[in-house]
Amino acid sequence: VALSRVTTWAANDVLTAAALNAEFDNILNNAASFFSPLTGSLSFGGFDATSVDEIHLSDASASASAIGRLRRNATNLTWHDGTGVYNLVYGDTASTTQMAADASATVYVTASRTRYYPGVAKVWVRFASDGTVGSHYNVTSITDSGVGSWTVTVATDFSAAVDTAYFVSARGNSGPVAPHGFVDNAGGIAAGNGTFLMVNAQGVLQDADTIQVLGFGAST
Amino acid sequence: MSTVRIVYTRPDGHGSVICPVIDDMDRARQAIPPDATNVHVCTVTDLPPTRRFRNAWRQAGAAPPHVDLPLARQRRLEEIREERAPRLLKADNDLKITEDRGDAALAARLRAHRQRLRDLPQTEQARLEALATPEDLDRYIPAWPEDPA
Repeated sequence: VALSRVTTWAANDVLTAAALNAEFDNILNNAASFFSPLTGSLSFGGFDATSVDEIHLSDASASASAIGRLRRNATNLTWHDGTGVYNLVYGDTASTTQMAADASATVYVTASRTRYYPGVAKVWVRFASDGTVGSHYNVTSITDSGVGSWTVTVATDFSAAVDTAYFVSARGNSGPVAPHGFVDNAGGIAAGNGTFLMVNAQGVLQDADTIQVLGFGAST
Repeated sequence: MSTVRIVYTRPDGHGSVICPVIDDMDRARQAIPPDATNVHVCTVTDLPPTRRFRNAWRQAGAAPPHVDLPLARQRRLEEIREERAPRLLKADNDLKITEDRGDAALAARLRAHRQRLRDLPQTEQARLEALATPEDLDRYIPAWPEDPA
């Protein structure tokens, strides 16, 4: 407590109105100094601390000691959840450039930017020979160009055609020979679409029960 | 899944069908190539009911595709030739073995059989011309000559 009394009274002193008012004014005008700094724990009695502008945690040089407690330990904010003490994650979110570069170890990933990471599929789809789409991600449409030939149009383009790596395979078998899938370079791979073929062992175009396409690369 | 389909004709005359993932026609139209013709929006029920003879789908103007019967007949004839290939191979082998054995009568029947197989596409073509629907073409079974071996 930083607040001091105005008058230290002795026996036979006369309490005047002015002196009494001065003592109360001292308390009322310096309310914060009345309890700050504390000399013991402060209980909120189960109520909230609201409208706090900023909390300054001193370095306790130790981690949170009991369930439900936060504590600063050097540069870490520690949290005790009842099973143990953990450092809370803090820092900036990764930009799309940082995600694509896979270079920073100090920023953290958010859901909507996960798709920019180079190791994440930018497009995937499972469809039938007639172009009917099953599960998919980042696909606008399937174009059925004839037996064993389809084009997948993506919703968000790759940055360039050369930045793509597609994989295509068949699930099931609608013909006498299991079809093999490959990327049709003649049909063209563009930033916004890819053309894929299925052939049988003789190299003849063939439908499949289900075609699966998976695309990696740099996204826009 | 959308039931809307966008059909168009490619420069090579073949028909393509765009299947949108959702009913967002603006996005679906992005898949139409600039050299497409006969662009037409329809539903999946407007298309031929099966993909049998899919490569024979053609459009007559901006309308849903239909199975072009001359092209479908041509395809069915190609299939008959493909089915004939192993039979011809067997006929050649049977004839060689029979000639080696010196069985002249059976060899003569095998030569005739082989010739009927060779002539089959010509004889079948006339029969195929008489079929008027894709379903008839699909169901059609060639009159394979009886193997004397």
